[in-house]
Amino acid sequence: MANSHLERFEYDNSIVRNFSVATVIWGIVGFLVGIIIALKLVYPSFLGFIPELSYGRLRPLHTNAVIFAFAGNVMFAGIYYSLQRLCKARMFSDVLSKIHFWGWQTIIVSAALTLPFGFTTSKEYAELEWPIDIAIALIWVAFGVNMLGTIWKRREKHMYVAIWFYIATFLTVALLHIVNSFELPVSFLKSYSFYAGVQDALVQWWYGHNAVAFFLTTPFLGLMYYFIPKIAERPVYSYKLSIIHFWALIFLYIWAGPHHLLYTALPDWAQSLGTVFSVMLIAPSWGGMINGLLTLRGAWDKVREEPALKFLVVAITAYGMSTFEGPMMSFKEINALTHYTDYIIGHVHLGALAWNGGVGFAVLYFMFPRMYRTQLFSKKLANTHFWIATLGIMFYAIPMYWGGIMQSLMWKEFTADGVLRYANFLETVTQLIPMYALRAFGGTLYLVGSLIGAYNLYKTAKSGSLVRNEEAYAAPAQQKAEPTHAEGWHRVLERMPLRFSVWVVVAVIIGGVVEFVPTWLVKSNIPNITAVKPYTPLEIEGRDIYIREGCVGCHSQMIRPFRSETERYGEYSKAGEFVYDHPFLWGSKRTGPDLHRIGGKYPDSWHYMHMKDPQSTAPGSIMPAYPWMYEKSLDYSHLEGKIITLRKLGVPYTEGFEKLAEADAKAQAEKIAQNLNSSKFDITADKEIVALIAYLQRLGTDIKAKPTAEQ
Amino acid sequence: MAQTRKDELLDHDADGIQEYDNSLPRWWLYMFYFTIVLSVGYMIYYHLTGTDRSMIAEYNAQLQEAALLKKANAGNSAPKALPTSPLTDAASLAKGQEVFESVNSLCSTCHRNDLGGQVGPNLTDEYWIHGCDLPTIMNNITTGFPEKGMLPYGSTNKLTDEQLLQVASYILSKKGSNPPDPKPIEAEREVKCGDEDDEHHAGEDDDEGKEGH
Repeated sequence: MANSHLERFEYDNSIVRNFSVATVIWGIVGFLVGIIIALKLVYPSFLGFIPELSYGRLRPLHTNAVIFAFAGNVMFAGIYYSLQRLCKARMFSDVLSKIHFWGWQTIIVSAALTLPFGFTTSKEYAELEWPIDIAIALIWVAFGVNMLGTIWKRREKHMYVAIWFYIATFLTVALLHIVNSFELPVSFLKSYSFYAGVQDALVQWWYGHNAVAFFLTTPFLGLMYYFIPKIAERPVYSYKLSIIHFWALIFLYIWAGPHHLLYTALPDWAQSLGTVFSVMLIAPSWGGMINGLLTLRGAWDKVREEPALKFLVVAITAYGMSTFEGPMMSFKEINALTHYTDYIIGHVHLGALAWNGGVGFAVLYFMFPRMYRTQLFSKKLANTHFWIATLGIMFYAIPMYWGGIMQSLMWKEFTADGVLRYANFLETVTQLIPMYALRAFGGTLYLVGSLIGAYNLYKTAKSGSLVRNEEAYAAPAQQKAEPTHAEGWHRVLERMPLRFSVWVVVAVIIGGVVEFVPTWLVKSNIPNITAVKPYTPLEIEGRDIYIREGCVGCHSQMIRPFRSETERYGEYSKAGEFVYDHPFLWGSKRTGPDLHRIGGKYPDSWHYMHMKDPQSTAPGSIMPAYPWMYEKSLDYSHLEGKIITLRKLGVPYTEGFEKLAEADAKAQAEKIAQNLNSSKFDITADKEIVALIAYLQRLGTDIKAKPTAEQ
Repeated sequence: MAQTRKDELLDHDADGIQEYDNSLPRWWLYMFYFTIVLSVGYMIYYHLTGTDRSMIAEYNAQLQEAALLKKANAGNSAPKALPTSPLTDAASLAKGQEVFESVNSLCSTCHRNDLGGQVGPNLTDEYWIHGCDLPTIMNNITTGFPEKGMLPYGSTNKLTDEQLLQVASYILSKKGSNPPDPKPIEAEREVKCGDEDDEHHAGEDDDEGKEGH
């Protein structure tokens, strides 16, 4: 570059610092909430029965905090750091950087101010209500414009592999978020999903699975591609592998969502697509692992020295394990064993704690001394953090794996006489409590490690001073020498961000279209059941309470066609039963039993006692009590709007029914209250519990044959 | 690792990061091909051979297998003759009470410790829904009423034959104990038990629990 004229410019380190500090703070909050809900499964009365601190409401807060606040902020920190350096350019716009940072933090705060108060759409990892969804879309676009703008004005001719992953992240997450968040508002903080039942499930898990892919995987692979060669000071193992595994990964990932819905009411062909595309994902995923680990050849002595590399090695190894485990669990036979169990919880935490957390902390340990022009305060403390975190991950994952398989086998075991050995679901839960205790211990270790890390980073920052604007020099791209030999097609593509982005969109859109369109258009995929009718107004209110309390966090509503499930719960669930379910509430985990056929199984009085004090009907239960439902009066003020909204979404309420809805609800509530009164329970018809009982008693009953007349 | 070319640097430089021109690892590539072939085979096997391999077909096969097993077992074990007279000694009744109130058998959570009934019916009066003689009660405990939330207990599952007899005897011993505030008599049964014709015999009413009177 001796012959070219160098331009002087400055990297923006302030924005990187801001995102880094936010990472540490939200990380600690997210882990802490995780420990609280982990303890609630060991001691259900931990922190008492306060609505805002109940398990069902805190669980989405935990998942959102860890995914979008911890992993999200560290992803942005790493991207803002590496993108500027890879583009040899300052971020496109400081204003957009600030809007992105403060907007994202505001979204996180608004999540913390809505989820514990029961404002949730109930769709996993997309729980935030519609005004926040809109804010997310806007801030995400601000981030994207800022990123693409930076790429546009880069001083390098080619985009390095890390940038490919960043582009794929921005474009695909935008697509996922917008499509999955289609919802019709009822009020300021209440909406119903645009989709119903099977379609809602398919869209949700297309989103949910690819949030893992494009929010927790691709950006972190991008970070890996920048930070590993940087820290190890070694060339990337194989450029060809980067190309092949990048395109294969983003093309194949998008198809795999239905593996979250195996053996559900989703059509068989869509389930099989989920299986095979997951299996084909092993190699592309491992491509990233191989390229990461083989880049470290000849640098293993550095791993001993450098705590950040230790985190990266464990992260990549865990990534390799998770991405093998995922495809294996996509096989029907294995899925039949692991789905709905804590095995999945172990699996996702291996990913979140080891992969995202590992890459995240490595990135922070690398960036802090450089941004503050100093040395890391203590390598010893960083190593301590590493070992405590690794130990914490093992204490977390192993009991969850073990417990998950153990419980699943208990669910399925029949005696020689052909009856379920553990007919009482609770017996399979109480066995898990020691595992839950170990898991809480593992999580606590991880938090302790993070606190040590936070202290270390704080002292590092204190020992130096932030270089807000880091001076750099580079020649403008057009002045750089043209390559002396012909470039490969991909090398050419790397010079064309727009064309590159178009191909990314093409790659990620195919899978979704092939799976969605037939499910919408081909009637046979969701056979109609005439007996299935819309919910009554009171049942809608009850369903909204079920959503508000996060019941779906522990109870599925999807009975799989297994003898062990139909014996336990009743007839397996059919696609046609969910056509009025906006949103679907199939759930993904059974800490408690499935509820799809709970309707009519127990008398109202059982539910009344159960929700008031679960231990009274199920001694040893770890379900929390819901005393507030017995005090709070039902709020019918939005009922009219709810009926109108649902009608707009295709639920066949007759015109004008919204005017009669409240009276209808009150009449039904009165009946239930009278029934409870006759069982000597002192309750009035206006209480929330009455609506919840109405909803539960309706569940799964539409297709049941009318009971034969009494003899 | 066998590579055609080994560790040749490309003229790439991204913020000081260089890249090797190494080929794709062979084993990795073959693994990728293998998963693709496997996937095609999987789709053909499950959807294009003409044989129904849907999850519902799988389920029906499970049911058939279970039905065959049940038939085979039914041939082997003759129905057990259940005792017809309850135990009355204090020690047995105390043991029965222990079972009734224990956390594992869950009788008391629905029928209350004093048997006055709450979710489940009052067990101390004369208005029995499902029959009131000893063999019938033992049978009902064994099969349960799953559709009403009462799980199967008894000899096949939770309780030994001895415990089953003890708890059934204990229940009968509380007849007429008049606990305070009992659950009102269910509409399903207005006739006193024993006043009617349908006699219950041991071993005959396996399906008792399923009829849902």
